[in-house]
Amino acid sequence: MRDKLDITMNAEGNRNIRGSVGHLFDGSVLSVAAAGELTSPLVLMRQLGLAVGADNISDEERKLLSEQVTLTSERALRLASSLNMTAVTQQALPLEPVNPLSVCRDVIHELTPMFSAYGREITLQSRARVPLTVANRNVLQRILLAFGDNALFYGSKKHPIQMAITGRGDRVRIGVRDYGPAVPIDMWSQLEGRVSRRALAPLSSRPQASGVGLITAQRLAEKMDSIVGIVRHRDGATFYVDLNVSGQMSLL
Amino acid sequence: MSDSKSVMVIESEPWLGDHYQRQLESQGFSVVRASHAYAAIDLVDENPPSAIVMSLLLDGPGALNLLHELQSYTDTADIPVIVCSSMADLDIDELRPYGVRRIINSTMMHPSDIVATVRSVLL
Repeated sequence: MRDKLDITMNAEGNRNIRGSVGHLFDGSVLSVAAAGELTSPLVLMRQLGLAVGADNISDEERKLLSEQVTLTSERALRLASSLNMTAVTQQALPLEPVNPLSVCRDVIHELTPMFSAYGREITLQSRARVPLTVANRNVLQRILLAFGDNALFYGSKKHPIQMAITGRGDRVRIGVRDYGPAVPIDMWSQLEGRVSRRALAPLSSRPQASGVGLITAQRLAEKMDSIVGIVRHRDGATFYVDLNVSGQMSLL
Repeated sequence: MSDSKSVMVIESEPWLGDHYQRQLESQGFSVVRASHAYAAIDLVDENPPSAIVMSLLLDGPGALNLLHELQSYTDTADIPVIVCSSMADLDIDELRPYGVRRIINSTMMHPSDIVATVRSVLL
């Protein structure tokens, strides 16, 4: 594990994040930060749970509230599960040829109920045929789910969140584009600083995205030798993961 | 008991905002909603509410910027503000200069607390 986060700017001006700050991102520190991140959905679930039990609501409202409790708990569980995997997985993860299109479809299928409940939409843009990539399917799903959860509150009905698969030579990029407050240019540095101070505050202008999910995604990507990065836009951001194309099929 | 006073709810989490709104409207308050500071300022300018219930974590400019803005004008400085937050280390004495009259710990609150607290600042 590296001692320093290596943030490089590529030819397109995007920021790739490699490595991690081992002593900062150890399990206990991240757990403390995660506790803060998980407080928000737990507060919401508690309030919704109390509201479900109230006498003065209609059956229709009760059904809606129950659905919100379920979806909020699923969002929290996704984060908790990824954090657990990050904490317990010390070694590199087993890799295999993975069809990114199939993974993206699964992720969108999982996220769509939550997005719909918030009046948001998430779409997939891709060519019909995409090369196989070298990845761990489960981890790749978690990374994209983290990007999706991060983007949830920054889309609008006018601008759906876009998940896009693009080929780049021997790499495939899967990006999640949102439309919302711009992220600071030194976002990753801010995140690591906040985690290290055990004072994780929301990412600038993005209260629903304190960054634990993104840090988790970065750590998981590192375990399968892929790169997580961000493209800043005036009206939002694209979080992406770059994956190596699998050469296995070329051997046949 | 029925109240006709208006309360502005400023909350970036829409379902939590819905929840606060339901509680307040069920007790006769009229509620206006804002999800971020810019929208809140516009709404306050159009129709100053009797009280504000807000989160400290907002989209866009932070809550303290909004509170500072409200304190900068005589017609908005006296609007009582109630902060709903899960941040355990908040000190009312530090926030009082920003017009904050009450802090509700959202990790422990009961839904009816929001109505009771609004009433307490409107007395």
